[in-house]
Amino acid sequence: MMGLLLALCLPAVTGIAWLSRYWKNSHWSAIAGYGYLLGILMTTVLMRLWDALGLKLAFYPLAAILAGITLLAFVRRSPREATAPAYRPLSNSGNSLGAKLLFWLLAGLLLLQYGGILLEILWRPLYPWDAWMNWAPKARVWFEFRELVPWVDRGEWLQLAPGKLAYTLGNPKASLYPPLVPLVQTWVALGLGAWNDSLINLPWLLCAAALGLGLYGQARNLGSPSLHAMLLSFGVLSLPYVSVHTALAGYADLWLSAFFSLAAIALFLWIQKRDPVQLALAVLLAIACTQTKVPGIIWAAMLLPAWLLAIAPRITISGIAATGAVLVYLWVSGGISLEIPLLGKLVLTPQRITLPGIDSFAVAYHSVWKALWQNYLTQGSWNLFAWLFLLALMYTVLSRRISRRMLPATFLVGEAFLFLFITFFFTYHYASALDGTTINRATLHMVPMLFFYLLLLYQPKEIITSP
Amino acid sequence: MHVIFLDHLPAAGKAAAGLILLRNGLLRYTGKTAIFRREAKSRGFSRSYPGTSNKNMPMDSMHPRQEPAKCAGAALAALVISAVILVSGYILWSMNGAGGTNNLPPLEITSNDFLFDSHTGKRIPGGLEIKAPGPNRQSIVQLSRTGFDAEQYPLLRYHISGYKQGLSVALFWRSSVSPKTTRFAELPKSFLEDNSFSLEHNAWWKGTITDLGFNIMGGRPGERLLIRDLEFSPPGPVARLRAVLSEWSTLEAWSMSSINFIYNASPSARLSPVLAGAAWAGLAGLLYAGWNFKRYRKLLPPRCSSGLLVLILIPWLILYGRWQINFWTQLDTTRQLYAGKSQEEKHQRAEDAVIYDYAQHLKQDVLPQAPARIVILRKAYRDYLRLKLQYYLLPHNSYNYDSLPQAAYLHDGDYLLVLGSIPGLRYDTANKRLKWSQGRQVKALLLDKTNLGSLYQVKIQPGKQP
Repeated sequence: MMGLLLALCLPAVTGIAWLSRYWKNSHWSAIAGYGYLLGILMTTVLMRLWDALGLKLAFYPLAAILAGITLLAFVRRSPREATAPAYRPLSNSGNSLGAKLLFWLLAGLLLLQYGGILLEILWRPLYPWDAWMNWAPKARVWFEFRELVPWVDRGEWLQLAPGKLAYTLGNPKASLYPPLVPLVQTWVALGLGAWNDSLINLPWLLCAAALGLGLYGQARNLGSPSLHAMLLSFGVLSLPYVSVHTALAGYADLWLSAFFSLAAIALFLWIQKRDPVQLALAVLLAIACTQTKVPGIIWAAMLLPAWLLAIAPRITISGIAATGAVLVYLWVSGGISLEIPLLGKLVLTPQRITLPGIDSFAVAYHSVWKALWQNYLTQGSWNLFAWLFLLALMYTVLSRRISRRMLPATFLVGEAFLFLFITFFFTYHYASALDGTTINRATLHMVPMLFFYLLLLYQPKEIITSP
Repeated sequence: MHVIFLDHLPAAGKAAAGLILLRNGLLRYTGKTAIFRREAKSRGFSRSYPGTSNKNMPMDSMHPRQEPAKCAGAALAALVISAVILVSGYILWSMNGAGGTNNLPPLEITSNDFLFDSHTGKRIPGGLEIKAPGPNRQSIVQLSRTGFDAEQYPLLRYHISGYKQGLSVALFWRSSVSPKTTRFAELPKSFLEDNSFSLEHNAWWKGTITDLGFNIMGGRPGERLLIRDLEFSPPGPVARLRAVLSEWSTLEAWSMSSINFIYNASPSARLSPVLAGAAWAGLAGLLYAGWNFKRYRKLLPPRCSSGLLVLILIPWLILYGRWQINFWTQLDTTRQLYAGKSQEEKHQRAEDAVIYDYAQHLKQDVLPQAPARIVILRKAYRDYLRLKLQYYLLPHNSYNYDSLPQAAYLHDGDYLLVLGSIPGLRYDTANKRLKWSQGRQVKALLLDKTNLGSLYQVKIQPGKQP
């Protein structure tokens, strides 16, 4: 039990310790939320380095290193670090009795809800399909062998020489998925000292908590009153779909949602306030995206144009326009196919697109509007969020609320929708939109960011532009 | 909790007062002179209102004429009016579609109408108490009340308690339209005990009913189910509203699709609660905007943001509440199944216990302790049995794609696990060979055979092809 507690707490403590050293002007809640996710990233990187050195995975030596890294955060502080300005709330409006009551009502509801989810995770053995098909099997093997045994595609597995050890999953592509999520499960199993396919999922609860705390803290860092920040966190964590991905733990989508959305939000805040820690957080969490799921590579890549738009808007707009023109030319002229060293073949033609290391698909339009309507606007996964977002967006356009400063964030939101549009309307993924298997999962990755985007849009300008 | 306004002072006075307030921490200078200017236009010297604080607060967030209570009240009223309009509209629409059946009295089912084997249950006032038949077993209860026109009575009202997961209660019937075919419709589980079930859109609920009853399946020994207060109603507005409420209170239990989408209602609900919530909030929003326009000449004035919050939060919380009741009902089922159990016991009580037990049997009784190479063969490419079995066989090393062996890639000592029957694949017991199409074969020993599958071990002499 001690090992389990350490496995759950140490990543958080390490991440929080380092983040609080360098991010003194942040609300504690953002430090806690981002700190946990950074701690998880650090833990998985440490496990991979340890394995790369040829050492068997052992919990206590790894935990000792993490504890050591944590202690390092408290020593050798430069005078500049020690005297860095502390966090000062920009706004506390909304502190009327009614606002306070509403704040605590929402906080209480979330505590109750996630208390129930904790019990569901503790009681139920690994349940959802991809959890036992794609993710936990790797963790089980790594735990049993105490090493990161390779997972290879089916063809390679068949041709393995006798005595060579490698595994392959029953899902053709999943063997090559990034390792972060099964590493998290391996870490908990190592701490526990046994394989328990209920308890390995406890970090999902912490991931949801980190997402909520990160959202709350960043809203406070932006200058929102505590009630607005709570409404933001409650809005995301109360969504049935977020609850399900926490309660029926084992999928990678909640992690990708937390990594990507909090990276995007850190970027938004950097654009508003130019706090270098925010930019560092955006970069680190973008790296975590690439280690979580294959679409995480695309989500992370989308942050780059938004960042460029913030630092060199004219050049970036010209670059985007030029890229668009080149793509149109390629489309008209029949496309290109070229071999990129180390990465593989890149194909961009009107008939087929191949992105090395990501996917290859035939390009054809499929109408999935009905599935979109059902999943977003009539089913219960997102409560009323899709309706609210649509209305808020329409009102935003009509009332011309999008300022120049909001351009990078708006561009990122546009990119996110374009990504989903291309994926579900022009690739073979349309089938999984029609049967509802992936449309909500892909949307989950960006929904917390969309909530924050609305907050940015409707935040008083003086709060956004204050130092 | 005071906000101080400076507009009665002359310009120099304002600056001096501002400096004093700044020094005393009563006002925070944000670096935007425009903010001071805007606030200075406000009326009154000192005024307090709820929802604001003087501590560390940018001036902009203090809207000078916030009227939270009044706006919230107006929004609440808009929500009430919107609900009344929508429900009335629905009732009017239902009355139009009633087709002249409004005056028909409901058909009540009394306890004497139940026909059943005395071992399966007993009569109670207004209905029946019935024992759960147990896993993979069923009980039949017939109703003597037949001979009515199905289309005139498409709404079944009932009270049911003890309807737990694992139990299934289906209404069955035969009618003059298809007298030789029995039709079934499963009664959904709900958090409410009083329910209505609509057969309006059931294509087979037609003609004169000739046979009627309930088919009860599954459950655990000792569980009891109470069904009473049954009534078939014509499609009046109240009955339809009741059916909508029943659909909204239908339990959405965990399933393999829960991770992909949530209905937050019955999957077959005629009216989506999200759509209804959006219509409710949307109409209320229009009414509220109208009220704002009349009062402030603006559709959504910032001073009335509290009303907007009410308009969004109340429908949101109601849908959230439905989801939470659903979740806690599901959690209770999870508790009953798994709480206090070891990991082994949990797997043996789970819905895939048969697969788990089979994997445990293979691991403990047949396969070696060290991870072995297993090729799983099954007719279906990717189905639950083969994929879940691969998970439960871990850390054994499975290849899980084919229906027939790829002999060229097999190693001596590999295991072949054949799940179910595969057309063309057979075992020649005499020669100890697995054979399949075009005369292909591999030498293999049959190690284990059960209802789910057969396990073979490949035998290849060194240097020889299989």
